[in-house]
Amino acid sequence: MINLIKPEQFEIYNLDWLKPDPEGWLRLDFAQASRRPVWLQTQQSKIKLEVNLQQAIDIKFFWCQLIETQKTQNLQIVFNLKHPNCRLGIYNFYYLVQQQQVSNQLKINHWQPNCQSYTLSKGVLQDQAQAWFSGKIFVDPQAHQTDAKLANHTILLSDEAKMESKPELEIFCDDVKCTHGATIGSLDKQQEFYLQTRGISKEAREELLVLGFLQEFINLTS
Amino acid sequence: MLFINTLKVSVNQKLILHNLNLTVLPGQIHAIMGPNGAGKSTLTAVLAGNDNYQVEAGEIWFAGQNLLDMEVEERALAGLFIGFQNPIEIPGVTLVNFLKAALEAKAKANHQPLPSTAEILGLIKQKIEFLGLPSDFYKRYVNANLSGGQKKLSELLQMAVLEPKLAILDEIDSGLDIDSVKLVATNLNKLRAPDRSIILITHYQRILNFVKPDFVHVLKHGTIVASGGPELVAQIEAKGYDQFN
Repeated sequence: MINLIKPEQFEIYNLDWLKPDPEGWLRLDFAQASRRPVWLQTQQSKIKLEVNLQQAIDIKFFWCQLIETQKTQNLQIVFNLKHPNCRLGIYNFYYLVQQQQVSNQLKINHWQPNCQSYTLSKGVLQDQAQAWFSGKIFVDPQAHQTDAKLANHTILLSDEAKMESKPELEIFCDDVKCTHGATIGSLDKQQEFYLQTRGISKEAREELLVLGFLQEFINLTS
Repeated sequence: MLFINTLKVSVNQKLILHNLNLTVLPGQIHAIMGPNGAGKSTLTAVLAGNDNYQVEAGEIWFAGQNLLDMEVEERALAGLFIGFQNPIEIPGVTLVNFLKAALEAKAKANHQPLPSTAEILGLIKQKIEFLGLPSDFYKRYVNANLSGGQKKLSELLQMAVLEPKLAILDEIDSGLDIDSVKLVATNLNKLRAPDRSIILITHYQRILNFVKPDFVHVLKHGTIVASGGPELVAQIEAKGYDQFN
């Protein structure tokens, strides 16, 4: 899976090089107008990160939690859109096996008008893996014309895998467009049957459908 | 090739097919025609191996094997192909990756070496050209964002690549305008072979103006009420299904 992603077109940000403040928060400030997508990396099992967009910029953030990484990870990321006309993309995917546990806790704060944010977190859980997702879009009273979307989709490949998803909206402004959604489920039975009628084995079916599920993410990164 | 003997099928305790008999020999084309609710789709589903349908009695033999003992994928690997009335959309999975998985499964089942990616791509491109489809068709996601006609052509492309012994095509003409029906029929004729049997299941006679069946059967109230040659098509066109009981 990982070889489908080509990090060379990303700007790699290794969070382990940042110095936390006394409360343990890491901080990243972005002010440059046009830039490459950012790939976040860390070896830490617990991260608290604040990302501030200080200018009208168009930026995408990616990170993934894969089989190769450590057993547990707890990420808490707050995105602050502090300038009008920002465009923010937040993309995360996870593929967890065995007893891996991952938590992604996101907050997207729209402080200024005419900003867009699009958050997509997608993943696959196998064996006894567990994941938690919470995503909150906050819209300040002065953040008119906010356009914010947030989605979390998970496929469970085993009965023992567990996912909890909590998308939330907190809106204090009228003229905004905000949507959120979450799905958790097994592979589509009709799609599986269709592949079966072409002679494709269970193992190969899962591989194909999981790859198809993540294709949206792969398209964005290649 | 296919031998169905006194088949009885129910769905949720409701009897759909009963006393259904059919024999299809290698190379033959059989058309099964019938009104809505006659049991046409049930027949396809049972042959495909959909376990929502209960076979209460009867037997089905395919290429010398007891079909009802075989898993869905075993049936496909033995040379059975199902063309669906509503092909399932699989966004994110390209046709080439999908067919690669199917060809690899077939090679494994036949104890042949796995074909290389280049060989697979070459074969698919050749069939795409043979059927006159757009040259980049293999890059599309399986049935996603395709028109009704393209979905049916995608089914025929899969059939061309997988080279089945028996193809069961469920309403491959439904929902298509007359030009698309002609195109599907032209391509289907290209896929006829002396050792390949085809069962065309349809409500309307129009596709049979372009694909000549050897035998025509009328399916009504869950059983075959009339069988004959292509002349039966004209009779249905003239007087409808009400004449059969």
